[in-house]
Amino acid sequence: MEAIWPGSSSFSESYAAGNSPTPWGLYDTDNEFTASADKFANWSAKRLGYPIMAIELQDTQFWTCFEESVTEYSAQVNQFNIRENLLSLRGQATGSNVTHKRVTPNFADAIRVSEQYGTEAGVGGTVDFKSGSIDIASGSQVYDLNALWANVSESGAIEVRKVFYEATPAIHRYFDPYAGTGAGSYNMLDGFGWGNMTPAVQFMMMPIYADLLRVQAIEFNDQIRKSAHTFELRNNKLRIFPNPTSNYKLWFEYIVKADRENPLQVPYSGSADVVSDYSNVPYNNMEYQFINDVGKQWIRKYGLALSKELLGMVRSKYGSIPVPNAETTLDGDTLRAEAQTEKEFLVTQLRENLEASSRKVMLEADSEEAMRLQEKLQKVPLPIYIG
Amino acid sequence: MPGRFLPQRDLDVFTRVNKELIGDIRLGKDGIINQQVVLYKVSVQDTQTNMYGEAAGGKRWKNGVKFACLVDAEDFDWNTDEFGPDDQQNASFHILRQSLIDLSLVPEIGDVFEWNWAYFEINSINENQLIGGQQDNNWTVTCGTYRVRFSNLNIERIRSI
Repeated sequence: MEAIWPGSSSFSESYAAGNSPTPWGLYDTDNEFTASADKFANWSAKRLGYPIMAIELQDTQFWTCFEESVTEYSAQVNQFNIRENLLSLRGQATGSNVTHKRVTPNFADAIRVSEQYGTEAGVGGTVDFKSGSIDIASGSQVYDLNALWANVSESGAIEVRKVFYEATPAIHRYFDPYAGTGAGSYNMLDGFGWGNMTPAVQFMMMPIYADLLRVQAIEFNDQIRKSAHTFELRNNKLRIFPNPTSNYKLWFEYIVKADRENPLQVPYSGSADVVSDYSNVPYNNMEYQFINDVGKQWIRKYGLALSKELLGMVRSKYGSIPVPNAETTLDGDTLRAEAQTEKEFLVTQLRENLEASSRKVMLEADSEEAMRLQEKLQKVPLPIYIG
Repeated sequence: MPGRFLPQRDLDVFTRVNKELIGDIRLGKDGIINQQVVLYKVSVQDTQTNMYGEAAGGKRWKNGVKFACLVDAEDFDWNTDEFGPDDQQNASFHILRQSLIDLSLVPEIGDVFEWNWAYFEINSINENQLIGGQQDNNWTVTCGTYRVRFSNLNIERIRSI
């Protein structure tokens, strides 16, 4: 084939002949793309000077520029879409293609982050809480949970989240005559309304805060006058107070630190291969037939800039071309410079348009419009009724 | 002959650009510069010579061949003597060698170019533009000429003393 544009092309014939008209073949089966490829080549050649000027490009080069232009448009729009929707798409299955789809914003990622707070607070989260127990021996106050439990029952460090070692609740000793501040049995009989069945010694109606004060008094009594029922936990070494006087089993809850620090923890086994970042958000190349005319015009202009750049490269392979008894310089460098400028302008324009249509900007614009509208309506004269 | 850094494809591009620039009348394509000339070659068979081998009765010419080339003409040189004013002019005709190959045409000393309503006889031929310094890539045939009087030719019928 001659190394210049012959004036026409046939994408369908080239495809039918199995010549792979475009390098990537991304849109070779898209009917609208294939129908537009020849028109694009014809249009571009004429915009570059054909038929007055010979154009040193072949049909496949025009189609290549056209393909790259569609891909560039897809990339630009989808880059914006990824930035716009990554918060909602992170964690979704990578097999779900969201190209040309409207993505519904959700709290998935925000909740996933907050789940870690739930783990620390012991309410929810993605880390398992486990139970363990040690045998308390009479007379022994200190117990090394690492030695007694972590090394035996777990393979890694544990973090104790709760020790079930508490004094008997004060309410259980509400009527304990030995508690010091508890109510006497007479009070109990009256309290339950059995006073009528017994000699009427006392009768007193007590408000609920009186019960609370009494419970608090029992606890203060235990803490101040008696040996406090408590424990210390340092480096998983448990010291219990008071010194136990019997043998019994003490339970505690813990997490395995490796579980919490696992960066790949997932809610369930099937959710491992999900959208993790910018690189695997399932936005693919757009289908040309679904791109609107606004996008198609951008694609044509960008494709023309690519064609111009390619023509410039061809024409600037040699700094000068020999002609009889002299040399001439072609316009390759000029074409490349113009093409570069046009490409930058188109990309900048597209990005600005996309940014102007972001969710944030549109909400801001909507808000401002509502505010301006209210401001305007406030200036409408109010009707005066004369009764 | 194409080489590593000057493949045939590039030579073809050079040729095509040259023809686009100069013109290719053989294929009916005007060039951007489009300087067209007619070359008349001497018809040796038709030219009668005397016993000294001179064409005393004038040269006879083959039909002219029209093609495009680059013309580099000097200014007119006016000379006035006892016979009156006379003007002379030298010109160089730079021809793409491939154009001559396409036409099977070989300019020779003594042949005449018709250009700018005048005739120029070839008095020198130079082929020294070698692409890449290679003799197989001889690019140009440059014909040095001087203007000749119409009366010295038998190409056009003119009234003259």
